[in-house]
Amino acid sequence: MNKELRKGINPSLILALLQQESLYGYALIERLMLKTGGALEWKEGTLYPLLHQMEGKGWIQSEWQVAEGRRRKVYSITKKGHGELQKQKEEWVALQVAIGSVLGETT
Amino acid sequence: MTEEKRQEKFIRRITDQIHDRERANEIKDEMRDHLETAVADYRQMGLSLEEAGEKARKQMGDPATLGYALEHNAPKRLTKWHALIILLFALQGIIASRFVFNSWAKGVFDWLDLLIVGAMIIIASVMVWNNLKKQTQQGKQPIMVIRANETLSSLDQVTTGMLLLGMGLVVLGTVMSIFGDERTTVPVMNSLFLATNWIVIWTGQRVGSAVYAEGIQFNGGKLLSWSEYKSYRVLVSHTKKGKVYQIKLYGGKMEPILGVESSQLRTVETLVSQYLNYA
Repeated sequence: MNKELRKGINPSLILALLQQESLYGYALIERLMLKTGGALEWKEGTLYPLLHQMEGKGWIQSEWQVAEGRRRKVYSITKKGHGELQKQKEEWVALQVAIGSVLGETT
Repeated sequence: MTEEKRQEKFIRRITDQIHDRERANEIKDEMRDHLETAVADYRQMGLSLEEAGEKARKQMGDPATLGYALEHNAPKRLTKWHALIILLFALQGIIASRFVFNSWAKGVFDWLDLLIVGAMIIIASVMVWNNLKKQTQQGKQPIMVIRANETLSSLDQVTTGMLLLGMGLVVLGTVMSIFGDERTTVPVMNSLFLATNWIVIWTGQRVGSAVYAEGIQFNGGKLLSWSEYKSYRVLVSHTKKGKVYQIKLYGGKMEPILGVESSQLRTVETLVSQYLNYA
């Protein structure tokens, strides 16, 4: 998928994955690949800055846990994040319908 | 070099870009966990430790670019330093306001006041020093860094002037409050302290952040706000095959500092495109 097009939906994807369960960075990357059958994937250079940015916005929160003998930062969705996800989902559906109505004419 | 050392070096290249030390430590732990989880996965696929480490690091991309992106997506939060400054301001406010109500504990408060002012000057100095130190380290990053050759641009010289003025006023106020006519000078000077302390802290941060911001003009092959810096004297440094090149540019002419023969000198634009090809 087009890089620019994909960029905009990354926060929604993160929120949607975290809505199901709390995850750490590496697991988020794996989960996205698994869910989309490899059609979508995140590079670390994209994911981590975005996670930190979303944490700053209060959409997600983090907690330090100990796993495999080392500190692990686990992210979970906040109440504000739930609201944001809902909003982004609605926007996405509206966009899908709008684009579909134009592109559909040509097929 | 052992695999562990290679990994730590890689992580350090990420966190070198992070301004706040506490946050840098957290990022260090997060990146270490990521790399080690990836290495364990690759090991399970049958790769050797070295191969797994190499692959995990390659997957993460350029560490300086990642660090830069993390630094510029930092959550805004109150650091311990900021909390301490706010606390000290509040304490000073209480001390200054005592003259309105009573003067019974003046002797004790004067010395307490001095201690607080001293602490605030130290904090401001540490902030400036840390930021300047960070700036110097930027030049050693193994990515291309273009920054103002002068430590402080003319704008920052003004703020430095303000910083020195603020510090001077604090010292003057302190001396006057000890030796002057206490009924008139002390309340005035206490109010002055509040104002000058604010100047000291504010300009301290201003100078530090301005210098720091100038340090990162080049990030992962993308030049940011180049036009603003064309008129500056700039220092260009980059690493190619482990060798550091530094070129000082002034008024369109370059003079080599180290690592570059004069016959190799090119315009900065050429150097940038050369770096882009290399990167």
